[in-house]
Amino acid sequence: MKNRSFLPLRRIGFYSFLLALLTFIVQAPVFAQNGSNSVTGKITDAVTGQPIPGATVKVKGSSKGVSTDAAGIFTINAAPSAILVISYVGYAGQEVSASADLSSLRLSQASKDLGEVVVVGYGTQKKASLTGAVSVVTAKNFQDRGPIANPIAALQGQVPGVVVTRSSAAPGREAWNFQVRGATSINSTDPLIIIDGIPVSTPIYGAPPPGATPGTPVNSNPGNTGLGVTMNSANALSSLNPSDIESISVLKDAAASIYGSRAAGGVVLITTKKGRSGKPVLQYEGTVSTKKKGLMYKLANGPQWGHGIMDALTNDYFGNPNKSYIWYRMGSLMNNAPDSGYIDLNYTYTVDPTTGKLTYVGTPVAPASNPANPGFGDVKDITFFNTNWNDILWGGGAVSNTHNLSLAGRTEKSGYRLSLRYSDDGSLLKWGDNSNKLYNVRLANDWTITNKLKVETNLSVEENDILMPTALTNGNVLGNYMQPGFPTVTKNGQPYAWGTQYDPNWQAKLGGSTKESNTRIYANLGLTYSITKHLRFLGKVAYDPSVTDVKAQNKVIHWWNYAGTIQAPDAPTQANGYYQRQTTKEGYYNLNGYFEYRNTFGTNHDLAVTAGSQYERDEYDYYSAKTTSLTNDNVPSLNLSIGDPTTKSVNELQSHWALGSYFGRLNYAYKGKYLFEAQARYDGSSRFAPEDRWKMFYGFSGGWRIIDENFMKKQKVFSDLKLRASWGQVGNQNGIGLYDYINTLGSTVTSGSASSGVPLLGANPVVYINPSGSLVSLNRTWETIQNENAGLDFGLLQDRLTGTFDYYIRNNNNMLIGITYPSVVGANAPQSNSGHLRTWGWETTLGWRDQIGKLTYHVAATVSDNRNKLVSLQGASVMTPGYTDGTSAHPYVQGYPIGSIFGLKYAGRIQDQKTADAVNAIGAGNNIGLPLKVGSQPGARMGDNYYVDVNHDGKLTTPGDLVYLGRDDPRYVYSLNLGLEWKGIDFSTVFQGVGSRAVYRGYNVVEVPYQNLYQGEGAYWVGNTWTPSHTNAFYPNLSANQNGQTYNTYNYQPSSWSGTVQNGAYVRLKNLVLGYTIPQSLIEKIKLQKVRIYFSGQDLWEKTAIHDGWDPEASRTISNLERYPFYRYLTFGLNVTF
Amino acid sequence: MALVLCFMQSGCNKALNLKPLDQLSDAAYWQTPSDFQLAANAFYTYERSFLDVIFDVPVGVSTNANPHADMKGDLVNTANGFSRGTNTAPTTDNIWSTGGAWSKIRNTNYLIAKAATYPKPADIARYVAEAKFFRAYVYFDLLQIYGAVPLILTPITPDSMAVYGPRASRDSVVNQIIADLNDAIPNLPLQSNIGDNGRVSQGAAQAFLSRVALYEGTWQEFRGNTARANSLLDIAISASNAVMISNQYSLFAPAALGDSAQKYLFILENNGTSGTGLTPPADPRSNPAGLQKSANNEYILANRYDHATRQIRQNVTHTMFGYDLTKNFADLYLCKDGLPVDKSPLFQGYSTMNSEFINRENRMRYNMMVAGQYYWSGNANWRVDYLGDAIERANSNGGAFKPYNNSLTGYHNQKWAVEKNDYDNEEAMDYPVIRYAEVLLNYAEAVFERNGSISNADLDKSLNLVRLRVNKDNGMPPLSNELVGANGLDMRTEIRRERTIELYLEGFRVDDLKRWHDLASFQKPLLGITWTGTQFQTTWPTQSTIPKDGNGNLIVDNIRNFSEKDFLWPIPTQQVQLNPALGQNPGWQ
Repeated sequence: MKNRSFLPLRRIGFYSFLLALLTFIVQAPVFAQNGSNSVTGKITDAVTGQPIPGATVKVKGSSKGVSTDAAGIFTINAAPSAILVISYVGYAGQEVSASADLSSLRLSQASKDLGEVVVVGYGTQKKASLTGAVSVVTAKNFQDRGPIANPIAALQGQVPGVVVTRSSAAPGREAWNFQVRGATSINSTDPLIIIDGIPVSTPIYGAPPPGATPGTPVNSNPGNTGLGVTMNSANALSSLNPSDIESISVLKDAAASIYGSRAAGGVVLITTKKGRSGKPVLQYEGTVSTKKKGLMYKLANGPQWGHGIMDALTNDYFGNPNKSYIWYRMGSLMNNAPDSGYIDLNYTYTVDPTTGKLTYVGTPVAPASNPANPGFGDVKDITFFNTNWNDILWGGGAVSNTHNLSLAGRTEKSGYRLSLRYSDDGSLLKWGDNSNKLYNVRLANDWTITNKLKVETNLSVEENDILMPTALTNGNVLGNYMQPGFPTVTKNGQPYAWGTQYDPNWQAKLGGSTKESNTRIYANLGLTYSITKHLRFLGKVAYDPSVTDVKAQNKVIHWWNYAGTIQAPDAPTQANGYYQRQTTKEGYYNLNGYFEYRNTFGTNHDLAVTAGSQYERDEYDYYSAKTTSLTNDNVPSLNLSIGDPTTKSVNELQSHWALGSYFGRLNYAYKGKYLFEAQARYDGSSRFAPEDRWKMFYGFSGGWRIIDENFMKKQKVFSDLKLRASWGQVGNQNGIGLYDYINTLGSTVTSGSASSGVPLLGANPVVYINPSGSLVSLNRTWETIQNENAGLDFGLLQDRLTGTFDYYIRNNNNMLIGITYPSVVGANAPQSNSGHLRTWGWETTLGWRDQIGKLTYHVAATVSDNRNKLVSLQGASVMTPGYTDGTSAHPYVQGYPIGSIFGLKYAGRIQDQKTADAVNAIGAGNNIGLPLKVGSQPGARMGDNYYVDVNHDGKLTTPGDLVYLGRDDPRYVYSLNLGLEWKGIDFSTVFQGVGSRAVYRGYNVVEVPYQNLYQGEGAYWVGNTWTPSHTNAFYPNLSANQNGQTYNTYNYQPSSWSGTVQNGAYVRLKNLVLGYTIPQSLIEKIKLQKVRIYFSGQDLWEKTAIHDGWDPEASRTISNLERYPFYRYLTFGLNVTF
Repeated sequence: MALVLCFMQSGCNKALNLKPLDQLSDAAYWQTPSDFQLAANAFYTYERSFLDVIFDVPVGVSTNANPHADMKGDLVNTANGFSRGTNTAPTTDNIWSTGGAWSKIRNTNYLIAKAATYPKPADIARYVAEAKFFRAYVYFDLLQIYGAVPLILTPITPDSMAVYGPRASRDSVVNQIIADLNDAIPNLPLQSNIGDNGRVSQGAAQAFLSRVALYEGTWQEFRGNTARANSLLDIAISASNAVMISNQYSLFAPAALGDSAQKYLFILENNGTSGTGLTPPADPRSNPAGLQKSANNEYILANRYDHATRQIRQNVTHTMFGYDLTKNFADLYLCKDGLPVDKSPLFQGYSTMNSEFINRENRMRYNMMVAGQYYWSGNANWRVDYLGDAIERANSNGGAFKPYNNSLTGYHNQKWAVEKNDYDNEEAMDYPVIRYAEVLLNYAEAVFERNGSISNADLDKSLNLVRLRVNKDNGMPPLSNELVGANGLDMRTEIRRERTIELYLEGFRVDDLKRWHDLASFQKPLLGITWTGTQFQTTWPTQSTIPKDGNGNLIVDNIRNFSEKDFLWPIPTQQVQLNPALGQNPGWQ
């Protein structure tokens, strides 16, 4: 039953593909014909004079119609007596005689966008009669502004309430994420993304990271690919061609209720372009871009690094450091580097008594017993090359380019659009292979078979190939850098090793690549059948298969000392080097159909009803094979393994889910001004036991078009005014396993003689089976989020000034949270629906559009804010210092927002002994690392931080003295768009920023000087640490936590001092475009319709309060791929319409 | 479209019934006896092994680990909070925790519950019996550690009443353990029909029943509850007797090993080397006679290891070799006339490093290390030919043994240290979960405690077999009422002495002291060698700073505050908070 029933589905998908292809081939030559009675005209905007492409021109009384080309020009067969009807969305229609002067027909924008149609769930609605909070971004908002790495990025700064983030700048591994109106749950709530009516499925599992030993199921950690990239639907979108997008609608409130159980994070509806009316239009869009290294933390150079070590150790030893300590000697050497640039420890040296520099003597000696050796057992030399790894690894002329070609047209019975894209994103990484290549083909067809039947196909094939050095995934290149003395290459040009530390550049270049190839196909067949004048049936079948193939190679690298005389052991060795292959196959099916009824009763009652059902199913299939000990690394192949069976491992994961749904919507409008809408969805999920499987979600909304009231007729100020309100429910099933109600069993087998945990019964260790350590859950259900929204839309001064304001409250009353039960249960209890999260906020947009002479301009601003509070976590109230991520180490705290940061209250820097004494007086019993004043040890000193004893218990402790310091999610997210057009010149900018965010990176090298003595250091503290002669320094006394002291731990406790918890506010010039459209007169001669050239820049400028050097948009943790430098992006672009 | 019609039908719920594809689940399991066997295999991971008895609080584990290790008692030199009585109630421990004992109980309950609906119960009776054996095994562990605990006999869910219920009485926990074992016994095979060696036999369940009944019988006896004690001691007698008359087991006493049989029992491995490329060539044997594990019919239930398929993966040899023992223990060994050191004319005193080893029963020199002798310890210092010749002595651990001078006791252990060339962690001797010697000692003690006396005949068929296994040729007399009477000995003390000597470092001592209600042994200072006026004083002059008692013995631990409350461990405080109905053990509130 399971599989057989879906064979027809696959077949339908396949036939729709064939049919679409066939249709295209057949109709391609059937272009519009010119007859002898043809008339030609041009349509322009009445205000701007710009041509209007795509306007429809019809002969009145006939079905004949054409549309204007890019230059606004049309040609139509019409008798001189005929009347031409001209229409274009958003403009007032016109009728004109075919014999009149058609050379400059001017259309005026409709005073209100009454006709503007917005895509909503299962259908469209007029914008004027919308009652929900729906934001729309159309192609013109993001096209012709330079490359967009992900269509979701187009929403940034355009839609209030939507926050788009990427955590990395690595090509293809940006890890896109976005939130609509902030957090909805402590469990993940990705927005539901829908392309042309079909949801983009989110992979249930991520693949384990390349190099990980297969065998660990990763379903406990959904979304983790191990590459630092969350596999959410936003990332699946990164291969979608932004040039194919017509519009994006974001459903933010109860308007999403029609998507029921998956709409908790909001719904994003993407509509792709179709063939427009008129002649075939061939368009080319191309860009060439270059990346410039953006913000990144600065590194200390050799002498700074060495001085810092000595100062830190001097402080830790209270002025009397142990000068024979290995790192003190290393720091001291760094300040007395010999002129040769390195010390070969295989030979002896003498110390010049005056300069302190070493002089080469040249008697052979064992490196470990060389008096010049600070004490390293494994290194062969000491080098002083003052290497700045940021410059060594990153920069170069990273070039990216994108080429788009599209062909679109429409005949009377059918329309088509074919588009192709090639894109190659280059990398700032100067070593190894790193790129992201995209290949797209999309074909959209529609044809009218009879008056009643219309069929549409939309087929997209996307290929996304990501190439990256494997060393970037294992932390060696993107971790903390080596100390600055490292050479980047040996004397002979070979890779350099210092003991067991290795040049990161060579690891990137020689360590092998990880090649990921993603193939995604979206095959979508739609049908519309008009049963009566008022009743239609719309059906869709979609099959979206995707395949990800990863080939990861970790090659053996040979290393040398600087002189090139001693080869170090290989790293990785042949036994550790590996080749891994992993393939993920996912098939997503969707069948949906609905009836749509629209009618007007009398003159006052407009009614529309939609009702239908849907079935979806997703099948996930992953397997992986890995082998170490390869013959050699030249050819990556699983066949070349020469190891025993323990060097090979395989793993498989399979899963599936299905969702069945009924849905419906009812719209009623009285006199077009009192609007009412109800929607509902009844969802049944395979994740639940049959008896608890189905659940209803529903919502209501209403609108009042005040502007249409009689009392508004006389005023001149308002051109639009509408009040909206909504209430609705949406669901979230994240946090619920795929087979939650079925108890699974784990099997354990021996992995060889070292596997002592498997009993030996009979001749051999046995296989044993255990029930899962997690209980099945029979009584938990979807989180249900209640959305409440009130909104106001307005237009003033003939819509020169337009705006919206929305206020919302969301309550997740049955949030899934973990509850600790007595251990006698004997297994981990599933999360239960017993938490409560409240989210509330507001968002507003304001736009001004006008013209001065030939200069048209617009200004638009958006501001939004949201707050949340964990109203109930069943009493969980223990604060922990730092960022709370919901783990047991840093649990969420009831009464505070998700992602709260708690810390001490900073009281200032200790500048006198009296203060130090006062701090030491409350030092006893502290648990924050304050060294005690004992004997000759001073405890808190001048130059250290001090904190407030918030709870007045006479000691400094956590959690007792912790206070709330803010949250990591941004607040007051704003953007400002400016646009100018003048005589073919267009100019636009987008500024974007965040008003408030608390950034706590954690106690790490990025924030704390000399957390690790053996690594490179940031330069943020250089010259800015407290010393008796520099008492107003930003940073406290340098320390390395040596001599049993923990001054760093103490001084760098998360606190309200901005040295630890930074202010993440910023404003940034997100986008700047300067374009020029070459006058029509010049290009007509070469048979072109439109040529535009432009320059665009992204992230060109910013002002940020972050002081450790990292980009303000970078994520909090700055780990692994998040360390990939952000960049400024300069683009030259060309648009040509043939 | 067909789909819409499809959904109009009720049957489409089926399209949403999806079962796991890559995991076993209840939906497709519990169909054959083999399914039950695989589930029962998991219970064998609950058996104690070396980690539980000869290691104290491994790094990274809560301080409540290893409750049965001798390191919690008085025989070895470890000063920890439990033996000192200075520990406090922890928030959590790794026994009373999800993943600990309660998960094990859940898993046994799970199998028993699944078996209830299996159509042919006879086919799976053995695995149900194993489940009951191990449920009893885990409950006994909880009983020994915490006393009364909740009785959970079904796989419960968080909304079960039992989750927040009170503890069952101590008696009902014991009754349940006995009932489970009695249920299991008829459905388990005799050792001779065991099939897969290592599985639970009828004898194992009977032997375990004797352990449980003796434990609880004496616990009750020494806490004034004679009636309860007697009924339990009767069970202990009959259960141990059932093993003894079954003729399935015998003490390991091959003639070829002579008086070293007991020593080599514990390090018996199958032939084979685990060190490779070592020179001189390694002897594949684990004992001088080249005996293999098949020669051992003493282990009634063993946690089995094998060098090729399952190594112990604990550094047993180099943890146990030279491990510090106390004088409290050393003085327990009888002289070969069967009398204790304070009564025997054969005792040679403490004047030299090895004087006290002279004229003692043989187990002393095979369990402990004697100054001047040669010892081998696996990796790097293995036996070459078991001849004790010059080549072999050259490969010994440090040459002629000298007690270590590390502020330690001066008494050193060799039990569990292999002599064959095993690499660290690669030893593969079996761990005796239950061995026949214990059953014999259980019998003797139960008979004595039940009746207040024991006949020579009963002693001869039990305790004396153990005592004389390696003391046949040195003239050591059997324990008898006459020996006791003639020398002013105490029969109970002698029975306990025998048990302590025979079973030390096997996880019995601390629990024995608890059931005997023996505060005095816990509270005695831990002593080392006699220093004042002995060869140790001249050899180790620096030990002069170490505290000594009036007899010149080193005091290695004098903080012995073990008190009445310490006979039971505290329930982790978080659990008491989550379920106040549990209450806390007396003295820990």
